[in-house]
Amino acid sequence: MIDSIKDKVKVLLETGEIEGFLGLVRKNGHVAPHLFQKGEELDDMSLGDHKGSGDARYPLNKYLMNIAKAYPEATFGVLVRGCDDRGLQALYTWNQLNPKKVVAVGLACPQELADACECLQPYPADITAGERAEPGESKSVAAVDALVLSERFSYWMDEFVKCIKCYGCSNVCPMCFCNECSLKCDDLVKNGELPPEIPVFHHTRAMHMVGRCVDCGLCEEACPSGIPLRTLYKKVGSIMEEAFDFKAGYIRGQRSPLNKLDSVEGKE
Amino acid sequence: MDYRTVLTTCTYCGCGCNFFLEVLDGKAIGTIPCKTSPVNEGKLCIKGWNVHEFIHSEKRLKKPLLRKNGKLEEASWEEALNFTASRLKEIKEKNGSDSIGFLTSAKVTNEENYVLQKFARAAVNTNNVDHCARL
Amino acid sequence: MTVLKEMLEFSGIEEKRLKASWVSSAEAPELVHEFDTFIEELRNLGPSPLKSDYRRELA
Repeated sequence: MIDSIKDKVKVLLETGEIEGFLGLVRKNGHVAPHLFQKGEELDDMSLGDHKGSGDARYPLNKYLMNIAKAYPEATFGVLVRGCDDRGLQALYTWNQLNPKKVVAVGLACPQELADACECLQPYPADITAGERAEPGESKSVAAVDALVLSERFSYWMDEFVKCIKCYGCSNVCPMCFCNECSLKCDDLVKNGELPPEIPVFHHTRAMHMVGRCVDCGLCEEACPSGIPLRTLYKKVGSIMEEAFDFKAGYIRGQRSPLNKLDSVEGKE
Repeated sequence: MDYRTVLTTCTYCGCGCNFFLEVLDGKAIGTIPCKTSPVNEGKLCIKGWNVHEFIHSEKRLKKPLLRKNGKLEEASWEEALNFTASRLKEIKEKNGSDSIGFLTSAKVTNEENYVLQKFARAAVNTNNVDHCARL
Repeated sequence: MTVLKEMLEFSGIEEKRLKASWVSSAEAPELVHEFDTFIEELRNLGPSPLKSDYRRELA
């Protein structure tokens, strides 16, 4: 599977179509994000599987934004799974990346990972390696929906109270690119309190994820307290889908209804 | 165009979380927690997430500063070292070793911290040594 | 508003506690009516779960 990716990247680099390929590499016993610029480097490429499938995934599209900003004229390749591809599509609509300067090399996720992530589309639009898996079943949201209102309240408050305000969730999120973050604004969320004002902090972030979250799950993986953020954002995404028929990144070029000033009902 | 991710360990607390410093053209621009490290498993505290900031910070001193007439002014290394050595000697003789305290930093290397605590304990003969991560 | 209400309900806070109404500044009686009905609704819902600081409760 990895050979098809390596071959494709080799061709892209040799023909000069891309100046570099942002992927993952095995080094020092770890899996690290890496910009491949020469064919020889490809031997140590990794797809993000360390001990289990997909346990060493990184938000490569986020790092691509940093590189692309410094070199706006250059074209780069990037390794994408289903979620990364959705991230790219969403970033294009938010003008954070130029689609003409990005070549996505797609990797479809195996069924066990799709189930673990409860991913609705565990494959990118163009697949270079891997087979399409069935969408994972959504159990986590349903489990919370099944609880009574007061149980839901204590469930979430017990989780939110563990927060250490490390901002890991927004630091790792590919869709968090705001220069001035509301979560860091003293008027909205008081500085200097641990845990931060709950549920204000997490609800604010959840509302900002409306129309943006592509369900990559890196936030939950980056949370040192293990707060089930992904469940909350999945719920918020499903509300968007029901009410506005919109899911971030699933349809190429579809802009979030919250990103438009012209349409009244939020439909195209 | 030089983009690289450099594996390193956080300088702050004793936990020793691993992360990659995101370095673009020689400048550290970000921090990526290491997902495959058994210590932190891809998670970091707020100090760890921002550890790359002090490397290129404008607030870092470039020259020694000496307080003259109530104001901090730039001085040469020779002047600064002579002043420090003679004043520490005076205070030690007049008020005793324990009247001197040493504050080091979690942002410097273990080797530099070793030198400072050795200086405090062996040269000045005091145990009053502490550093910023304990505050 | 749609998303916010549903998210609050999902998180265990009654969505009826949040209300958005549009009233013209020239329609003073309507504004008072809105306030009165909303206050009545809130009274029926009882004290808000957010009234006490959850963080202090645990300490």
